[in-house]
Amino acid sequence: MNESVYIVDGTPCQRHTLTVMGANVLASKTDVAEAVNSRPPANSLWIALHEVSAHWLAHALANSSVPVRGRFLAIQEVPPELATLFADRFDKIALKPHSLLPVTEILTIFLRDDRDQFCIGGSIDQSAQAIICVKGDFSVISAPLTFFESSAGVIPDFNDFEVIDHGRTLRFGKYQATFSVLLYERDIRYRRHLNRMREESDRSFGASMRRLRKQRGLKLSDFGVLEKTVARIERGQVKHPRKRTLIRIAKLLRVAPEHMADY
Amino acid sequence: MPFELKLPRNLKAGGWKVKIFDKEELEPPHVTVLRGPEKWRLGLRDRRFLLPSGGSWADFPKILEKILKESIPILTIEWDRIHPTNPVGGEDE
Repeated sequence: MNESVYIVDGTPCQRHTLTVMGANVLASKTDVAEAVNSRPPANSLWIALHEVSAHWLAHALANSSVPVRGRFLAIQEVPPELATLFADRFDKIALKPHSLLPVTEILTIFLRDDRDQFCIGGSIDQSAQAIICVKGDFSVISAPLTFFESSAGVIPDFNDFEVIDHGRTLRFGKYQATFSVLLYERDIRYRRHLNRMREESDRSFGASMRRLRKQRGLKLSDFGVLEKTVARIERGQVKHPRKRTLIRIAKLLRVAPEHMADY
Repeated sequence: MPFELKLPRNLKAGGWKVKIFDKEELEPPHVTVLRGPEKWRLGLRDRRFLLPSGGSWADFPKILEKILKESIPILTIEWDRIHPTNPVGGEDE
């Protein structure tokens, strides 16, 4: 694996699975100290499964002069003083979200290139009326609870929240939303990435014309025909544009009308 | 409430799920197929696989492909029930 994963104190039955998946399972205080002092890669993921594991790691960090970076996830509650230490030592931390995927699923997601498209855990803050989700890359995404409006008479129950389906789904009682809908709404990088993919895959005449226009640095208003008409052609809303209009547009785009669809 | 298509035990045991969610992105009507961290979205209007995952029928066991194709009518009814403002019979964006 490209990234190193350190799991502090796995239970015996989990240790085998996690080791097979490529994680370094640290089952004692000494193991943790050795790992911390071994100059772990900066993109490592550290997971403390129990409160005592968090104490082992904090002890090792406090006694080491080796800089440790990467991401840290605490499965159980950690005391505030330890949280401060972890926040200082790691690039990103996530401390016991209300709902968290099983460790094996987190590990699977963390090792994927598209990990930022998964939710590994999340919390509902009732006083702020917001949902806070931790993505697979440990960045955080949030939204007001009003984002999840009722659907076909089903009202989301924010007191019964769970991240399911390997981080693809957010469940609120009997209501389920895809995590990608939250990404699309709240994550500009994801939205741009998706729109770029859609644009590249869209081989329609309108999409080709839009790409070509952008390549030429032209605006909708640069064609000497109604701006609205050009926009409608690009959206595919004009099935058969007039020949005269096409010739005028093609001339400004510096291509033959019959080659416009090639772009 | 989301709609989850009932699948035979062997597909279920293999981790396959077919769902229509309460909250989806505003785009062509589709059904979501899940297996572990993998996800596909099959368009209900044109039976094409939607981005960003894309994919093809070759990604599925033959039996799942058959079930999905046979279930299009019920999936269409369920989509329209959950998302009445964006029905399968409506126009593309």
